[in-house]
Amino acid sequence: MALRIEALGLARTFLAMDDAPTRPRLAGYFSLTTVSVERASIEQQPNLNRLPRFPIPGVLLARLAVDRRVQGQGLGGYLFEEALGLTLQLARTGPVAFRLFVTDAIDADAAGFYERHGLVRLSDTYPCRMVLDLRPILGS
Amino acid sequence: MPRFQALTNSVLEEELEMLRKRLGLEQSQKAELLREVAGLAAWVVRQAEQGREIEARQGESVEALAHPALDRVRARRARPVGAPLALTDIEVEHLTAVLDRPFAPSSDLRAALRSLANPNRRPPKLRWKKKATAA
Repeated sequence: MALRIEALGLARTFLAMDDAPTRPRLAGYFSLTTVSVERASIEQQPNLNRLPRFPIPGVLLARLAVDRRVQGQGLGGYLFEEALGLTLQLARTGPVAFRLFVTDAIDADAAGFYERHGLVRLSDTYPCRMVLDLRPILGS
Repeated sequence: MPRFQALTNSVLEEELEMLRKRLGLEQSQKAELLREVAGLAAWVVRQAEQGREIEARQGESVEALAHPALDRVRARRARPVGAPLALTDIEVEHLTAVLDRPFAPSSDLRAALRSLANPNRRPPKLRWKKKATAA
């Protein structure tokens, strides 16, 4: 299996191709893009004064999908690792800083998957925003 | 345009009449019919808004509900790539808690970080199932 990169507009999409000699097949993919995490409300609220300065720069895992015919074989976890690894590499060596790894889980199954991988839910509805703080990982 | 509208109205009338009979309502209960139809539609839209697939199942047979209106609902909910991600105050509070908390990675995150550090890391070998199964 090989990862190939396709540039699709504002996001970069990585394709996981099963390089079977007879018929190469798309087994899964993920897309990464930058995101600026901002507060929707501009009202001053005393209890939110301790918040970090907004906007917070992050990398958004915009899509992650695995073909149903190869689900349950660890490809989703592998693609998640790839996405996180590329994000950490960019945050460590890139010209700009990133604090958050962000995704929108489309349903409870997806949210459970990301939760097991350390992301935290920010809401209870779907799509559910989830984040991972990169700073402690980068510092470790 | 008037002809199109007339045709549309007649089709709509027929649909509503069919629904009225199936729901066991009298001809004088048009308002009740609309309330019930709106109630059913509202449930469907809420499910779609929460990212759920809506399917009719009977034994092995499964039929997914597909409609352009549902596509519009899902498209409206999906955040366009590249757009700023605006958090509500509740989400901001949760985010603050995330940023404040001590680093305690889950076992899967630890495993992912260990795996990334492994130079011999390889993708899984895949075995393709013949038929797609419902998730």
